[in-house]
Amino acid sequence: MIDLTCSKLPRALRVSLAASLVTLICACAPQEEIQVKDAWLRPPAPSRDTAAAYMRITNTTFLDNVLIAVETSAADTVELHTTMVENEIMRMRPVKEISLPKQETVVMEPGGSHLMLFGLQRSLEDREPIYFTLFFKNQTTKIVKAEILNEAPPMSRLSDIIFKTDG
Amino acid sequence: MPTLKYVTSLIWLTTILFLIGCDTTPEIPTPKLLDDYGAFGGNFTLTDHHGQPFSLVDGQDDISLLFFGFTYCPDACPTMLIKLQEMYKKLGASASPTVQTLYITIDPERDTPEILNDYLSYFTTINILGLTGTLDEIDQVAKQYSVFYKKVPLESAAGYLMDHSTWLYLVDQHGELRYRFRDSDTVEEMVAGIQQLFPTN
Repeated sequence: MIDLTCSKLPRALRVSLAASLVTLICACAPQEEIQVKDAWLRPPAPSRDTAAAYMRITNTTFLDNVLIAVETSAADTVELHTTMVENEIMRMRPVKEISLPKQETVVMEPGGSHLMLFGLQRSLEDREPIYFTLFFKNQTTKIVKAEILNEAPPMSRLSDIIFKTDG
Repeated sequence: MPTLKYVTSLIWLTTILFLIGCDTTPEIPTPKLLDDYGAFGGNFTLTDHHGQPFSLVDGQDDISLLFFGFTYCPDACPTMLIKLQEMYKKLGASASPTVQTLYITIDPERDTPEILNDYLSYFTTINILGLTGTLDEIDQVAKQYSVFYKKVPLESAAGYLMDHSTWLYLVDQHGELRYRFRDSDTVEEMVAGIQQLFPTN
């Protein structure tokens, strides 16, 4: 029988083997193509079931990409929206997609592009984070954790990327 | 003793940098209030978020800030209210005369007194009164203050959204329009503008 735990090897050797295995795995893992940081949203006002969510998306690759859709189990619908202020007039509009140019960071923030959540399933007063699935044009998706905050987080405080799936 | 030399020059350098820093502190631009806005402004009567009638003249002796918005807007409108929270903090709780913010909805179809009441209960540190009315009543006030607003039907779960101008109107204790703050004005500028209406003694 093969001893998978390598119990016959000296302890020191077993530890260093494990350590080098971990290092190898980390080194081989590809760099995240799309990085998402500072995902957050305000709890909705009482009696409202809409909310706006924000994040910073960095396309680290040398190919342009596009955010085409977002889903969450926390709301009925998520739409991509943008707010523009021109000549002191504010306009909010849904957009079909958000471009993610190569090697650039797109900042979604209050008064700019944002996710609009309709039909929130709960009030978010418990401050439990919610999860978004981001769908990109290059057929990849990413799951992002968003914190419930009253104000925008300081830069780079939250960076909770859970995992990425290619497919 | 080279070390001592370094320390001495470092202290000098720090002092000089500090002084330069003090010298270049930017001054807050003080908004220049106008005495006469011509035909703009004036009294109006709407329904407040308790369901009671409210006239601007009822609130005389108070300084009023008129904000036109709608509660369905979860992106930019809360940003303004958060700015107002900051402004009230800077003005101090004992500010006299009282500064009353009037949140006038330009979406009266959705913003009933009950909705306004719920919405504004979220912002407890602002002295704020929600105002709504019929479409005609809101239209009249918007015209008086030269507010632009437009209902925009959209292919969106929102059904429709409102385009609107983002001015914040400063009305003095006598009900006279004195200034329009821009969306981009800082909290410091807003405070500096309002404080000009405080009695000087």
